[in-house]
Amino acid sequence: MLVLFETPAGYAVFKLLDDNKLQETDNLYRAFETPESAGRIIKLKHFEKFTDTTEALAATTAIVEGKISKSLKALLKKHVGKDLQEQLLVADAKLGSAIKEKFSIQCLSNTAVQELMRCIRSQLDSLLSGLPKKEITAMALGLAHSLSRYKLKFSPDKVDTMIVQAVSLLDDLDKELNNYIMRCREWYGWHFPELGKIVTDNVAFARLVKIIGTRENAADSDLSDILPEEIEEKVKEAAEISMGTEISEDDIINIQNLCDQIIEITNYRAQLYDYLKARMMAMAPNLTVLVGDLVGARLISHAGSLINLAKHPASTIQILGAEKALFRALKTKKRYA
Amino acid sequence: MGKPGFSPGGRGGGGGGSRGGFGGSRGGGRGGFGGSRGGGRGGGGGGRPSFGRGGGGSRGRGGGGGSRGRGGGGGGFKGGKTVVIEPHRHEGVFIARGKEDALVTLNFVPGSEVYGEKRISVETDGNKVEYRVWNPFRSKLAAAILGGVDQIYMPPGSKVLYLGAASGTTVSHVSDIVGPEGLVYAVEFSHRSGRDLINVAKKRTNIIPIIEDARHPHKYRMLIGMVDTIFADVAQPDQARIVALNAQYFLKNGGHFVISIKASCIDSTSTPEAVFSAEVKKLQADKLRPQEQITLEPYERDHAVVVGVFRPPSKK
Repeated sequence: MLVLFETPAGYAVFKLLDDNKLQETDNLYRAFETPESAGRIIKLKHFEKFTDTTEALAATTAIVEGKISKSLKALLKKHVGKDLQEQLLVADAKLGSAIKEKFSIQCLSNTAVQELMRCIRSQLDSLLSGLPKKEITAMALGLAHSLSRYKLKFSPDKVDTMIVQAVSLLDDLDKELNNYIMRCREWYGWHFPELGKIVTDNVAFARLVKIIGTRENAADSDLSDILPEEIEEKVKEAAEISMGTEISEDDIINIQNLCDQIIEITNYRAQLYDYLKARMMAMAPNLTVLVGDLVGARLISHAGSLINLAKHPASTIQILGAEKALFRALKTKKRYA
Repeated sequence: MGKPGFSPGGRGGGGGGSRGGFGGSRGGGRGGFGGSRGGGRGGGGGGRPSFGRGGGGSRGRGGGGGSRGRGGGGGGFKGGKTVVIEPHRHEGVFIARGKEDALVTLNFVPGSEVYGEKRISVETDGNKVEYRVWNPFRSKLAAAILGGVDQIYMPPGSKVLYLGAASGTTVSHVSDIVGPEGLVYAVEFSHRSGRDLINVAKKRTNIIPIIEDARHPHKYRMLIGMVDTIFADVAQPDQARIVALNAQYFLKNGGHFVISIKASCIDSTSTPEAVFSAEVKKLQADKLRPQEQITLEPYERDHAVVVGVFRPPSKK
C-alpha cells in the first residue's frame, strides 16, 4: 500500500512495507516509537518538493478544498499510476474520491489511516531524512502566512461585510442624530420654548432655527417652504408672546451651526440608506422582498453573513436580536412577559 | 419621544470595556471594532504607574533564584525606578516585583509591544532584557497561572497548538514563553481577528498563523507537525469535540491539553459546575484524561481551566 502525505515542503509518497500493521490501530503507535522501528514499517518512496511558494500555495489551497492540484496530478501519474493494483492511503476522504474518479486508483481513508498519518507525523523528521528540519519549519511559516493572506484577500463574505457595516453605521447615525436633535431642542428651548411643542418634526425644527435665528425675526421670515400655513401662523404667534430668555448673537450662531450638522447628517443618512437598499436588492433580493431592506440587513448583521443566516434554523432566526431576553427567561424558568 | 435627562456631559461611558465589543460578528466569535479584547487599555505608553521605588526591601529578597536588576530606562519610561524580576514556578514565566507584583514574560521582540501592554526593561550585567506585562483580566492563561494551576506544559522549546487565537494577545505571550526554539500554531477562524493575528505573527517568527475553522483540522493538516500541548480557548458549545479532533490529528501520545471553558457558551441554562463536569466527561470519552481543574475567579466569571493528558502511556 502507498501513503500520500502532505507537508508544507511538498508531497511525500510512502510505501507501507507491512500491510497488516494497518489493522492494529491501537498498537500502531508502538511501532513508531523510534525512527528505526518506523523505518521498518514504512519507507519513503518519493518526495515531490514544491519548487516555490506559488506552487506550494496553489497545491495547499487545492488540498484544503479536497481537489487535485497540478503538482499532485503530475506526482500521481509518475509514481503511483504505474502500479494500479496498489491501494493509496489518503488523509482526506474527499480528496480520495477525487483521485479515485480521475485516476481510478483505489483510495482508502478511515480511522486506521488517520492513526497511521498521526504516526507518520510524529516521525516525520526522520522519515524525510533528506530534508532538514529548519527548512520544513521555514516552509511551514512561509506557507501559513501566504495562505492566511490569501484567505483574507479573497474572503467570501466581503460583500456581506459591506451590508453589515452600512446597517451598523445607519444605527449609529440614528442614535447620534437623535442626541444632536435633543441637544438642539434643549438649547434653543431656552430662547423659544414654545417652538419645540409646535414643530415636532426634527429636520423641520433644525431648518426653522436656521431661518429664524432669534425669535424676533420670526414674524418677518418666510416659513412656507418648511411648514404648512396654519402651523406657520402658530409659530409666528408664539414668537410674539414667548416666555424664553434673550440670547446673544453669538449664542444663536452656535445653535445654528449645530442645526447645520443635523441637516447634513440627515442628508447623509438618506444617501446611506439608498446605498444599503441597492446593495440589499443586489445581494439578497428574496430576503429584501420578504422582510424589507432594513430588517433584512439587520438579520444579516446579526447572523454575521448571508450564508450564516441561511444556515440558521428557523427557531434561531425567530429570536435573533432577542437572545438576551430568551436566555434570561430560560435561565430563570419564568415566563417572559 | 420622551426627553432624556439631558444634563450636560451626561452620556454614559459607551462601548469601551466590553469584551468582543462593537461590530459583533457572531460567526467567528470575537470580532469587533477596535479588536481590543478585555478592559480598557490602560494608560498607554506614557507613564508607568505601578513599579514604584520599593528599593531596599525588594532588593534584599533577590538572593536565591531571582535574577535581579535595575528597572527603568527602557521604552521611554522614567528612569531610576527599581523592579526585580524573579522566575515563576512555570518555566518561561516571570514575576516582576515592584510596588505591585505583575506576571511578565520575556519579550521575544524587544522594543515592540503587541496590544498596548506595558514593558519593563531590566539590565543584568550590562545586558538589557525586556519583559512584557501579562494582564490576567485579558488572558485566561495568565488568569490560570495566577489562579495557581499546577502545570501549563509549555516549557521553552515546546510546540503548542493554540485554538481560538483571536487577535493574538495571549498567543504573543505563549510565543514569549516557548521562545525561539519553540513553535506556536495559532488557529483562528474569524477574518477580522485573523488580520490582527497575522500582524502579530509577522514580527514573531515562532508563530504560525492559520485562518481556518478549528472544527476541520484536515484543512490545515499539512501545516502542522506533532505538538506537545494543545491550548484551546474557542468558547463554542462543541469545544470538547473540537479539541478531541485536533488531538487525534496533532497531539503526540502523552501530550497535554489546557482548555478554558466558558460555562455560558456551552449551556447558559444550567449551573456552571454542571457544565464543567459534563465537559470533563466528554473529554474523558475521547482519551483526554483530565488531571486538574480550576476556576478563574476573580478574573473571569463562570470560567474553568481544565488541564490533562492525552493517551497517557500505559503503566506496564
